[in-house]
Amino acid sequence: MITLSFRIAGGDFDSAGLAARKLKEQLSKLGVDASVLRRAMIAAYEAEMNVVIHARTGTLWARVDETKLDLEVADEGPGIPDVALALQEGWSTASEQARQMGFGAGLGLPNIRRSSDHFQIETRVGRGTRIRSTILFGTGSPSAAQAPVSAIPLMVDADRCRGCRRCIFACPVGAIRARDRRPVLREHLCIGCTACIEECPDSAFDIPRAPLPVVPADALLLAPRGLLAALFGIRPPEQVLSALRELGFTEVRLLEEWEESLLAEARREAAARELPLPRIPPLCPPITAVIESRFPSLIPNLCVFHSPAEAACEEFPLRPVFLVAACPGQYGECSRSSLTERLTVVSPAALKAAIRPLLDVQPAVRLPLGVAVPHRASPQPGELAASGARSVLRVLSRAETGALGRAALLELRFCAGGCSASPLLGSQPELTDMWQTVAVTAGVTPQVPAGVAARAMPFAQRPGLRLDAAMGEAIRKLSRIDGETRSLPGRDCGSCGAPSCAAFAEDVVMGRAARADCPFTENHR
Amino acid sequence: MKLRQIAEALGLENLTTELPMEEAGNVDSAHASDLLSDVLANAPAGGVLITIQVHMNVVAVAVHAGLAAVVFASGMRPPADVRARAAAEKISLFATRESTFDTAGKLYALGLRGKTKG
Repeated sequence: MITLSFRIAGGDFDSAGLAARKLKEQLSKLGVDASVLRRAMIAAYEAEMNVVIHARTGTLWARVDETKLDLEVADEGPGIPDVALALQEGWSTASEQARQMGFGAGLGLPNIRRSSDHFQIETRVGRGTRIRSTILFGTGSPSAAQAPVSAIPLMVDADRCRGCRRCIFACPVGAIRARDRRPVLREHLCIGCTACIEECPDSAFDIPRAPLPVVPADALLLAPRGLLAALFGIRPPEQVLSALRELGFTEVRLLEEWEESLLAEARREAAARELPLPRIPPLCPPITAVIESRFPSLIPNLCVFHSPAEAACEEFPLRPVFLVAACPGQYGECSRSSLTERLTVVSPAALKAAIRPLLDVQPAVRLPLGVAVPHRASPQPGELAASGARSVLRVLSRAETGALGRAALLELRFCAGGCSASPLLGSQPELTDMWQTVAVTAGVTPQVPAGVAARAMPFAQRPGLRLDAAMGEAIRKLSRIDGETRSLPGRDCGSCGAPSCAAFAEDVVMGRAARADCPFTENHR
Repeated sequence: MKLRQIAEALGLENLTTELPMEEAGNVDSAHASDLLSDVLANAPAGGVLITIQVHMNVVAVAVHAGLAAVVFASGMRPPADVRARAAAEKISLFATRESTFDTAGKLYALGLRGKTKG
């Protein structure tokens, strides 16, 4: 694998196309197929021209491996107020100068999309735009390509596990099985919550714990609710903030700021009454995942915005950003597919490990580091807030059947008490508010206010639960599962490794488990 | 058809005399457009572009689209640096006083064809 990067200067029509040309030279050396090369050059050149025509400055990254080419172009510029409009052929906001040169025909973005097997655009008005394009080698048929399916970054350490099986019952979506007394994750079902991490007495579940890399100059730390409280649990607040500054962070921002912005947007949507109610802002990645997989009829209720963490990461396109993830879902969502090394996703444990040695040395000079406290808007009538897996699943079932009446907005969080209760933080959620009001510097006004980021791609149903791609076959399998379930004892004892007899029956029919794994059948092995 | 034959048949002025025209292969396709995004996406590789755009980006687009030559119509003439870059990129440049429409008609009569979309 090889990653290349090229700077692009906005407004410089004389050297426009240089980045694409250099990229072509490199790709030609790699022996990339001609038709792939043509599509790659269309995408790269058009993206480069967009920066030249519209933005102040930008960068083109390209990553090549044996199977595909990934392109990413990020700029600091005006952003795109209406992405759907900008993707229409013939729509353009280019200057008269650009048009006279034969640009600004409104074909740029459509050309990039048509040349890509996978295309993604993220944009913030007044801030900038980021385009990602993937071109697959070999197949040649863009339609055959699938959007990449992301794996949940939940790690299972089998050596720590002592085989108690609590996790298989704790998982709210039944994504864990015990095999040879060790947990095995059914990745296609996992929604990236923290239930197994919380339940496990042996700490066998975790998110990737790579140590904190060297923090570059002017780096920003994005912290989930409760992280500071967790760190303050180690030492006094001033000392912790001073140590963060010493690690290299010049700014610390709380993700709650972006949660508030998203909630405000959802409130606007709820008040407008143009979209299906209740509105569900995608505050929490596991909530979004559970809606996409288990409650697809509620997908139209999801506000089509990026999560607070995603929005915050995109807010600073050309600045090094470190995000501390509070759950596997957030970790996966933010570490997904970015080619730029500007964004680093780390676990709370990694940050704690990095900060601890600095707390023991008294710094010669204490460097000030303030943290802005987000203003929390008071809830409006018709808003329902719920947290914790059981409560949330109950609310979603009711919303699906229309039993929530006139609810206008659902503020749902998978961890009971919100992100500050994540077992990965190891904080005391009850103390979070106290710490934040007592310790965090009030009166700090951040230069870049927290905004929201509209999703270019709508939410979509996850195929994970589907028994078969063909509906007829899926129906046959369902009836066989039903028959199997009735022939089982119904104790939901977990001896077979599945959380319930129904889950075991499905595993048997789908060929993932043997009938003889149930100890209560005649031919138990 | 060879570039030299096309140039002679249309009475085109060769702007890149340092390039041996024989090096380009047979040319049997062409594209007429002033919108560079359209050229990039739709011009047939190995073909000729007819345009009235004369700035440096035409050469860049021609390189990416793999074109053999560019004909500047309606008396338009590119500056020297554009000609030098084209020569370096081995793309022949020609000029004609005739319009894009007439030039395209003559190329069509010689047997050159455009690319049909879809």
